[in-house]
Amino acid sequence: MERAIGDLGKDIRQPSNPFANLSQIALQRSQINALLNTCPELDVNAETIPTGNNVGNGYFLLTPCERYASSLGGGIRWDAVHAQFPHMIGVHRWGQLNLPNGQIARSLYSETQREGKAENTQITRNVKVSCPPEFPVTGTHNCFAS
Amino acid sequence: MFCQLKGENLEHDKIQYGEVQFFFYFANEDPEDDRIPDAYALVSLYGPPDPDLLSDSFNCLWACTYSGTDYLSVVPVTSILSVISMQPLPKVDGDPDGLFFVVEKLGLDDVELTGYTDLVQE
Repeated sequence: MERAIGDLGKDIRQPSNPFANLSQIALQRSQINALLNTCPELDVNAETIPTGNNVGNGYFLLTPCERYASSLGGGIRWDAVHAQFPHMIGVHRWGQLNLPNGQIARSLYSETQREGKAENTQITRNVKVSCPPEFPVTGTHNCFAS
Repeated sequence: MFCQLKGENLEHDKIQYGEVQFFFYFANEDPEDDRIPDAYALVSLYGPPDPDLLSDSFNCLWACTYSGTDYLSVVPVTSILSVISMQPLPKVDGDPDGLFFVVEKLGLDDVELTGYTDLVQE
Protein backbone atom coordinates (compact mmCIF):
# COMPACT_ATOMS: atom_id res chain seq x y z
CA MET A 1 0.00 0.00 0.00
CA GLU A 2 2.72 2.48 0.99
CA ARG A 3 4.67 1.36 -2.02
CA ALA A 4 1.69 2.10 -4.26
CA ILE A 5 1.27 5.56 -2.75
CA GLY A 6 4.94 6.25 -3.30
CA ASP A 7 4.78 5.06 -6.90
CA LEU A 8 1.76 7.20 -7.64
CA GLY A 9 3.28 10.22 -5.90
CA LYS A 10 6.42 9.94 -7.99
CA ASP A 11 4.41 10.21 -11.18
CA ILE A 12 2.84 13.59 -10.37
CA ARG A 13 3.78 16.04 -13.11
CA GLN A 14 1.51 18.99 -12.43
CA PRO A 15 2.62 21.04 -9.42
CA SER A 16 -0.23 23.52 -9.86
CA ASN A 17 -2.92 20.89 -9.35
CA PRO A 18 -1.27 17.81 -7.85
CA PHE A 19 -4.32 16.02 -6.45
CA ALA A 20 -6.30 16.04 -9.66
CA ASN A 21 -3.16 14.82 -11.41
CA LEU A 22 -2.73 12.09 -8.81
CA SER A 23 -6.27 10.81 -9.22
CA GLN A 24 -5.90 10.78 -13.00
CA ILE A 25 -2.68 8.76 -12.72
CA ALA A 26 -4.38 6.27 -10.41
CA LEU A 27 -7.33 6.04 -12.78
CA GLN A 28 -5.10 5.34 -15.78
CA ARG A 29 -3.23 2.71 -13.88
CA SER A 30 -6.35 0.85 -12.86
CA GLN A 31 -7.64 1.03 -16.41
CA ILE A 32 -4.42 -0.51 -17.70
CA ASN A 33 -4.55 -3.23 -15.04
CA ALA A 34 -8.14 -4.04 -15.88
CA LEU A 35 -7.31 -4.14 -19.59
CA LEU A 36 -4.34 -6.47 -19.08
CA ASN A 37 -6.45 -8.75 -16.93
CA THR A 38 -9.19 -9.10 -19.50
CA CYS A 39 -6.89 -9.22 -22.55
CA PRO A 40 -3.61 -10.74 -21.38
CA GLU A 41 -2.36 -10.97 -24.97
CA LEU A 42 -1.80 -7.19 -24.89
CA ASP A 43 0.93 -7.55 -22.29
CA VAL A 44 4.19 -7.43 -24.22
CA ASN A 45 6.25 -8.31 -21.17
CA ALA A 46 4.27 -11.40 -20.29
CA GLU A 47 6.17 -14.54 -19.42
CA THR A 48 5.69 -17.29 -21.94
CA ILE A 49 6.12 -21.02 -21.71
CA PRO A 50 6.77 -23.20 -24.75
CA THR A 51 3.64 -25.07 -25.79
CA GLY A 52 5.42 -28.39 -25.95
CA ASN A 53 5.40 -28.63 -22.20
CA ASN A 54 1.72 -27.89 -21.76
CA VAL A 55 -0.02 -30.82 -20.11
CA GLY A 56 -3.44 -29.20 -20.00
CA ASN A 57 -5.62 -27.58 -17.34
CA GLY A 58 -3.03 -24.89 -16.69
CA TYR A 59 -0.22 -27.28 -15.79
CA PHE A 60 3.21 -27.10 -17.46
CA LEU A 61 6.22 -29.31 -17.05
CA LEU A 62 9.50 -27.45 -16.70
CA THR A 63 13.11 -28.50 -17.06
CA PRO A 64 15.41 -30.15 -16.07
CA CYS A 65 14.43 -33.16 -18.06
CA GLU A 66 16.28 -36.23 -19.20
CA ARG A 67 17.21 -36.62 -22.83
CA TYR A 68 16.82 -40.38 -22.87
CA ALA A 69 14.21 -42.60 -21.29
CA SER A 70 15.55 -45.08 -18.82
CA SER A 71 14.27 -47.59 -16.34
CA LEU A 72 16.17 -45.74 -13.59
CA GLY A 73 18.39 -48.76 -13.13
CA GLY A 74 15.50 -50.73 -11.67
CA GLY A 75 14.86 -49.89 -8.05
CA ILE A 76 11.78 -49.23 -6.01
CA ARG A 77 10.76 -46.06 -7.86
CA TRP A 78 10.77 -47.82 -11.20
CA ASP A 79 8.75 -50.67 -9.67
CA ALA A 80 6.12 -48.18 -8.59
CA VAL A 81 5.89 -46.65 -12.07
CA HIS A 82 5.92 -50.04 -13.72
CA ALA A 83 3.14 -51.31 -11.48
CA GLN A 84 0.93 -48.49 -12.77
CA PHE A 85 1.99 -48.71 -16.43
CA PRO A 86 3.06 -52.28 -17.20
CA HIS A 87 3.71 -51.51 -20.90
CA MET A 88 6.14 -48.76 -20.20
CA ILE A 89 9.78 -49.53 -20.95
CA GLY A 90 11.38 -46.34 -19.66
CA VAL A 91 10.67 -42.90 -18.28
CA HIS A 92 11.94 -39.46 -19.19
CA ARG A 93 12.14 -37.75 -15.86
CA TRP A 94 11.04 -34.12 -15.67
CA GLY A 95 12.05 -31.87 -12.83
CA GLN A 96 9.42 -29.21 -12.23
CA LEU A 97 5.75 -28.50 -12.64
CA ASN A 98 4.06 -25.14 -12.96
CA LEU A 99 0.67 -25.26 -11.21
CA PRO A 100 -2.40 -23.25 -12.24
CA ASN A 101 -2.12 -21.22 -9.04
CA GLY A 102 1.31 -19.93 -10.12
CA GLN A 103 3.35 -22.10 -7.79
CA ILE A 104 6.16 -24.28 -9.09
CA ALA A 105 6.46 -27.74 -7.63
CA ARG A 106 9.98 -29.13 -7.82
CA SER A 107 10.92 -32.74 -7.31
CA LEU A 108 13.50 -34.90 -5.62
CA TYR A 109 15.04 -35.39 -9.06
CA SER A 110 15.56 -31.67 -9.71
CA GLU A 111 16.44 -30.68 -6.18
CA THR A 112 19.12 -33.31 -5.65
CA GLN A 113 20.89 -32.16 -8.80
CA ARG A 114 22.28 -29.16 -7.00
CA GLU A 115 24.24 -31.14 -4.45
CA GLY A 116 27.39 -29.39 -3.41
CA LYS A 117 25.97 -25.97 -4.17
CA ALA A 118 23.95 -24.52 -1.33
CA GLU A 119 23.13 -26.66 1.63
CA ASN A 120 20.08 -24.99 3.09
CA THR A 121 18.12 -24.37 -0.05
CA GLN A 122 14.40 -24.04 0.07
CA ILE A 123 12.55 -27.32 -0.42
CA THR A 124 9.53 -26.97 -2.68
CA ARG A 125 8.90 -30.54 -3.62
CA ASN A 126 6.20 -31.25 -1.03
CA VAL A 127 2.74 -31.08 -2.53
CA LYS A 128 -0.88 -31.47 -1.61
CA VAL A 129 -2.50 -34.15 -3.72
CA SER A 130 -6.09 -35.19 -4.06
CA CYS A 131 -5.43 -38.88 -4.67
CA PRO A 132 -7.79 -40.40 -7.20
CA PRO A 133 -8.91 -43.85 -6.09
CA GLU A 134 -7.72 -45.51 -9.30
CA PHE A 135 -4.07 -44.76 -8.49
CA PRO A 136 -3.10 -47.09 -5.68
CA VAL A 137 -0.08 -46.83 -3.46
CA THR A 138 2.72 -49.29 -3.97
CA GLY A 139 4.50 -49.95 -0.75
CA THR A 140 5.00 -52.13 2.21
CA HIS A 141 1.69 -51.21 3.85
CA ASN A 142 -1.47 -49.85 2.38
CA CYS A 143 -3.11 -49.22 5.70
CA PHE A 144 -3.91 -45.54 5.19
CA ALA A 145 -4.23 -45.24 1.47
CA SER A 146 -6.93 -47.77 0.80
CA MET B 1 -12.27 -31.56 6.71
CA PHE B 2 -10.25 -30.29 3.78
CA CYS B 3 -12.95 -31.52 1.48
CA GLN B 4 -15.29 -28.93 2.85
CA LEU B 5 -12.81 -26.21 2.01
CA LYS B 6 -11.79 -27.31 -1.42
CA GLY B 7 -15.08 -28.44 -2.97
CA GLU B 8 -15.02 -29.98 -6.42
CA ASN B 9 -15.35 -33.79 -6.58
CA LEU B 10 -13.21 -34.33 -3.51
CA GLU B 11 -15.86 -36.39 -1.76
CA HIS B 12 -14.29 -39.61 -2.99
CA ASP B 13 -10.76 -38.31 -3.61
CA LYS B 14 -8.54 -38.28 -0.60
CA ILE B 15 -6.37 -35.31 0.29
CA GLN B 16 -2.84 -36.45 0.94
CA TYR B 17 0.54 -34.85 1.21
CA GLY B 18 3.61 -36.12 -0.54
CA GLU B 19 7.11 -35.48 -1.79
CA VAL B 20 7.46 -35.45 -5.56
CA GLN B 21 10.18 -37.79 -6.81
CA PHE B 22 9.90 -36.79 -10.47
CA PHE B 23 7.41 -36.03 -13.21
CA PHE B 24 7.00 -38.00 -16.43
CA TYR B 25 4.89 -38.34 -19.51
CA PHE B 26 3.08 -41.52 -20.34
CA ALA B 27 3.45 -41.58 -24.10
CA ASN B 28 0.60 -43.16 -25.95
CA GLU B 29 1.66 -45.97 -28.29
CA ASP B 30 -1.15 -45.28 -30.75
CA PRO B 31 0.25 -43.05 -33.57
CA GLU B 32 -3.27 -41.96 -34.56
CA ASP B 33 -3.79 -40.46 -31.16
CA ASP B 34 -2.28 -36.97 -31.12
CA ARG B 35 -3.74 -35.84 -27.83
CA ILE B 36 -1.45 -34.18 -25.36
CA PRO B 37 0.35 -37.04 -23.60
CA ASP B 38 -0.73 -37.49 -20.02
CA ALA B 39 1.75 -36.37 -17.42
CA TYR B 40 2.15 -38.10 -14.10
CA ALA B 41 4.15 -37.60 -10.97
CA LEU B 42 5.74 -40.23 -8.79
CA VAL B 43 4.98 -39.12 -5.26
CA SER B 44 6.21 -40.42 -1.92
CA LEU B 45 3.19 -39.97 0.34
CA TYR B 46 3.59 -38.92 3.93
CA GLY B 47 2.18 -41.22 6.59
CA PRO B 48 -1.27 -40.83 8.15
CA PRO B 49 -1.70 -37.82 10.45
CA ASP B 50 -1.20 -38.35 14.16
CA PRO B 51 -4.81 -38.78 15.35
CA ASP B 52 -4.28 -37.30 18.83
CA LEU B 53 -2.57 -34.15 17.61
CA LEU B 54 -5.15 -33.79 14.87
CA SER B 55 -8.14 -34.01 17.18
CA ASP B 56 -6.53 -31.94 19.95
CA SER B 57 -5.88 -29.15 17.47
CA PHE B 58 -9.40 -29.30 15.99
CA ASN B 59 -8.09 -30.74 12.70
CA CYS B 60 -5.43 -28.05 12.27
CA LEU B 61 -2.17 -29.82 13.03
CA TRP B 62 -1.58 -32.46 10.37
CA ALA B 63 1.53 -34.13 11.80
CA CYS B 64 2.87 -37.13 9.93
CA THR B 65 6.03 -39.07 9.27
CA TYR B 66 8.23 -38.98 6.21
CA SER B 67 8.02 -42.33 4.51
CA GLY B 68 10.88 -42.21 2.01
CA THR B 69 10.23 -44.89 -0.58
CA ASP B 70 7.72 -46.85 1.51
CA TYR B 71 4.54 -45.34 0.09
CA LEU B 72 5.14 -44.50 -3.54
CA SER B 73 2.21 -43.60 -5.71
CA VAL B 74 1.78 -42.49 -9.30
CA VAL B 75 -0.71 -39.63 -9.61
CA PRO B 76 -1.78 -37.50 -12.59
CA VAL B 77 -0.20 -34.06 -12.34
CA THR B 78 -3.64 -32.49 -12.48
CA SER B 79 -4.39 -33.93 -9.06
CA ILE B 80 -1.59 -31.85 -7.54
CA LEU B 81 -3.36 -28.95 -5.87
CA SER B 82 -0.62 -26.83 -4.37
CA VAL B 83 2.91 -26.69 -3.05
CA ILE B 84 3.13 -27.02 0.71
CA SER B 85 5.89 -26.94 3.25
CA MET B 86 6.69 -29.81 5.62
CA GLN B 87 8.31 -28.54 8.79
CA PRO B 88 9.85 -30.64 11.56
CA LEU B 89 7.50 -30.65 14.55
CA PRO B 90 9.23 -29.55 17.75
CA LYS B 91 9.32 -32.63 19.94
CA VAL B 92 7.17 -32.70 23.07
CA ASP B 93 7.33 -35.54 25.60
CA GLY B 94 4.95 -38.28 24.61
CA ASP B 95 4.87 -37.48 20.91
CA PRO B 96 6.26 -39.96 18.40
CA ASP B 97 9.65 -39.22 16.83
CA GLY B 98 10.31 -37.70 13.46
CA LEU B 99 7.02 -35.92 12.87
CA PHE B 100 6.58 -33.25 10.24
CA PHE B 101 3.64 -30.92 10.02
CA VAL B 102 1.96 -29.35 7.03
CA VAL B 103 2.12 -25.62 6.39
CA GLU B 104 -0.03 -24.37 3.56
CA LYS B 105 -0.01 -20.95 2.05
CA LEU B 106 -3.05 -19.06 3.25
CA GLY B 107 -5.64 -18.01 0.74
CA LEU B 108 -4.41 -20.20 -2.10
CA ASP B 109 -7.77 -21.94 -2.29
CA ASP B 110 -9.38 -18.75 -3.48
CA VAL B 111 -6.78 -17.80 -6.03
CA GLU B 112 -6.16 -18.92 -9.54
CA LEU B 113 -3.64 -16.86 -11.46
CA THR B 114 -4.48 -16.54 -15.09
CA GLY B 115 -3.32 -14.47 -17.99
CA TYR B 116 0.35 -14.17 -17.25
CA THR B 117 1.33 -17.70 -18.20
CA ASP B 118 -0.14 -17.35 -21.64
CA LEU B 119 1.04 -19.81 -24.24
CA VAL B 120 3.44 -19.07 -27.03
CA GLN B 121 1.37 -19.19 -30.16
CA GLU B 122 2.86 -21.51 -32.76
